[in-house]
Amino acid sequence: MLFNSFAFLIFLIVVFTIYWCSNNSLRLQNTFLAIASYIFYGWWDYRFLILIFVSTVVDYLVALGMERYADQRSRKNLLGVSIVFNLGLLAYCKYANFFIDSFVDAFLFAGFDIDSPTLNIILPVGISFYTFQTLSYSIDVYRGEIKANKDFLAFMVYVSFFPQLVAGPIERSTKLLPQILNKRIFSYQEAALGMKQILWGLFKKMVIADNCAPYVDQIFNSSDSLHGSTLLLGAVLFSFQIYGDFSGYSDIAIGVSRLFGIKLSRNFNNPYFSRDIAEFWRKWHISLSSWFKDYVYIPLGGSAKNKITSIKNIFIIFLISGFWHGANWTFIAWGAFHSLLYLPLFLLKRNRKNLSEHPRFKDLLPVLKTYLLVCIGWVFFRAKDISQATDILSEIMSESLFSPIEVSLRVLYIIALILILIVLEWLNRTHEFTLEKLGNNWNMYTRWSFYSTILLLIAWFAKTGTSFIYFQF
Amino acid sequence: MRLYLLKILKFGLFAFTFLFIFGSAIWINIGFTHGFLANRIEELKQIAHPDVLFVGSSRCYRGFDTRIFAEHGIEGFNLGSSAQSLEQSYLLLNKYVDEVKPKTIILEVAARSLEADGIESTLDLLANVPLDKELCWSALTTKNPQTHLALMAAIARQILGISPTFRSSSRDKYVPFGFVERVNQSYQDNKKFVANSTYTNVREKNVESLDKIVEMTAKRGIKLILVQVPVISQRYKTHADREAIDEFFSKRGYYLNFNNKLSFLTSEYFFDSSHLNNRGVEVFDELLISTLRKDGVFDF
Repeated sequence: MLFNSFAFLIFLIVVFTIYWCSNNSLRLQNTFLAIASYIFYGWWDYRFLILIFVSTVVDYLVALGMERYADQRSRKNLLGVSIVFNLGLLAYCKYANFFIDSFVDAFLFAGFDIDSPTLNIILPVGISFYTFQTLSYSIDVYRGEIKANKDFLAFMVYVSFFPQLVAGPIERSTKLLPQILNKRIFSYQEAALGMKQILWGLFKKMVIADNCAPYVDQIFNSSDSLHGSTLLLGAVLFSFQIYGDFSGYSDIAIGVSRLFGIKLSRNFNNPYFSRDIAEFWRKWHISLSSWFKDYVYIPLGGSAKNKITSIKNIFIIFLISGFWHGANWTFIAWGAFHSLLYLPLFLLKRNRKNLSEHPRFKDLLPVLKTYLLVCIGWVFFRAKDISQATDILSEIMSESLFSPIEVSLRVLYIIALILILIVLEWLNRTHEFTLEKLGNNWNMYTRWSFYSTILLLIAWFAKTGTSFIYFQF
Repeated sequence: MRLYLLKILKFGLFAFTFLFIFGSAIWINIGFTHGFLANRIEELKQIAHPDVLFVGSSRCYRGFDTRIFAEHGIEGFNLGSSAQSLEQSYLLLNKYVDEVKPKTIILEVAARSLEADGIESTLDLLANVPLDKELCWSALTTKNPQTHLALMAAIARQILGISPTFRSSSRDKYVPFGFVERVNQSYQDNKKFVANSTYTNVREKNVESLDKIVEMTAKRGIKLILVQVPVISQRYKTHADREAIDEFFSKRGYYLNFNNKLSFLTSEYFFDSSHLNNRGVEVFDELLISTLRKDGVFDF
């Protein structure tokens, strides 16, 4: 069930109504949320429900076990069970064929021709997100940062909470579980903010991302016959497609969650206004970056040890981050490319330079430079293989960069819409999301006309049946 | 909670009215006029019993020149519209066939007419054709907010009695009886076609509509001819399932594929990769007429 579908609208209205009619009973609220989340997830494929249920049971029991046994060895063994189960599940569903193919290629390279079995595995939607969420719970219990939760129903809701189930934000148990364990009281302010955030998310997804998509496909599918100028336009359009798609999804997820009285973490903070790559990584897919930092980078020693270990850790974290996106060398190359951009900042101790202040207009040049580097990275991310990515980049770097662009003039509409997005996001960059405070001082009818204009744009530019890019991860 | 629901309800009413007024206003002013469908619908009122009625997409209204047919003593009317899928062809025929009573129907077909989602065509029809139950239903079932908005505009237009705006184009010339001419422009072959072949994604609704057209014409004793208008050969070759498509249409009736017969046409005969220019139309129409005469279609 897609957020941008009619089925989801009906689903949301029904669940919202039943949920708040539950007489403010915590048990009923959680029961409805669990049922709704399982219906939502089962809508894709009912077989996925078995996986998520087993994953929930394993981590629930592992955490209770860790609470029960005081000795470190038993606790460590139990944590090992959770890690092996969750990562094993992820590795099997997502990476099995990649490893088989890579082994076959390696043997072929060495001169041995072997038969390659291809497993027919369906990748369960959102598996990368919920396995990381349950894994973080087990690790937090092991570290003693949170007590094991005895309420199985609440834990089910924690793992399967439908707004963030299939594409995040990846929530920490320390933040989400306490909210699920407490009765939610309806808040007019939060629900109103939720609606505004949903509206803005839909705009980014349905107007920006979905309308960039056909041009991006057209350009990347015929990249071998296009000039550098058109290919650069393709990379720029893809940067807004993926941003609109994923940050749009996150905004809708956070907004929907707000309607149910649950506050999710911020996942994007205007990443394209970053002044350097380090800042970009603090602002893009925040919940995943911080997950890797807390559960991989710091346990590996982070930057506390010597320089060589720190550099190794930075490489590892970026490569894993790329690999998390999918079983393809293009994602690994994307991660490696970003690690190469990050390392100089780290070595010159400039990676924490832009920590607090928001970018200003005088930062335009570093912002543009960072954006351009990010776009180059996106070419690896979007290309079908490494050779296509390098071909595209070498064409962009050639003199054909100055040739006329070879796509339909209709693309100008999309560029105009992207400019509207950039201006609105820039003007509201200090707020949690663009519409949070925009229009608060206007009179009601002006504000409603503004929201209706966004609805009109959504209706005008909407395309049917478009999925979200991050569902495949 | 009550306050919230009340506010949502009020905003919902406000937004609906806003969309209705502004959405309709934009559609009424912009509409879909580049295919000249409104002109055809207006002219159609004066037509009775033509020898041949052409139906199909822009390849139809840019491919069948009624003047060339007239030179051969064949009275034709072109009812093509932009990106017309078979579903919309059926809608138009169902609406007008008993009024016009043609002797022959030439239905322009291609792989695209089987896979088209019909959204662009529905927008065209909503902007230019008087509404009826079938058209409203078709617009609603596309599940596309843009067509829903256009439907609102069409309802507003109908209620207010506003006629579609007639527009001329600097590049195209509308010729009476439905043909649209693009002269003295050749296709600048600056775009190579992707080597990877594509397969046709057949939409069930289009297949059903084609079967209904076959049934409708048979019932009324109208000859039905399915014709593929040539596109530039490099483009045609990107379709991997050309033979399967030929087989599919051949099973439905008398079918001619001019992509095979006129594969020698170079970019000089097209103004873009899928539309003939005036030179191309002349070659194509002459060959079509002689083929149909030879096969005894125009023996009236």
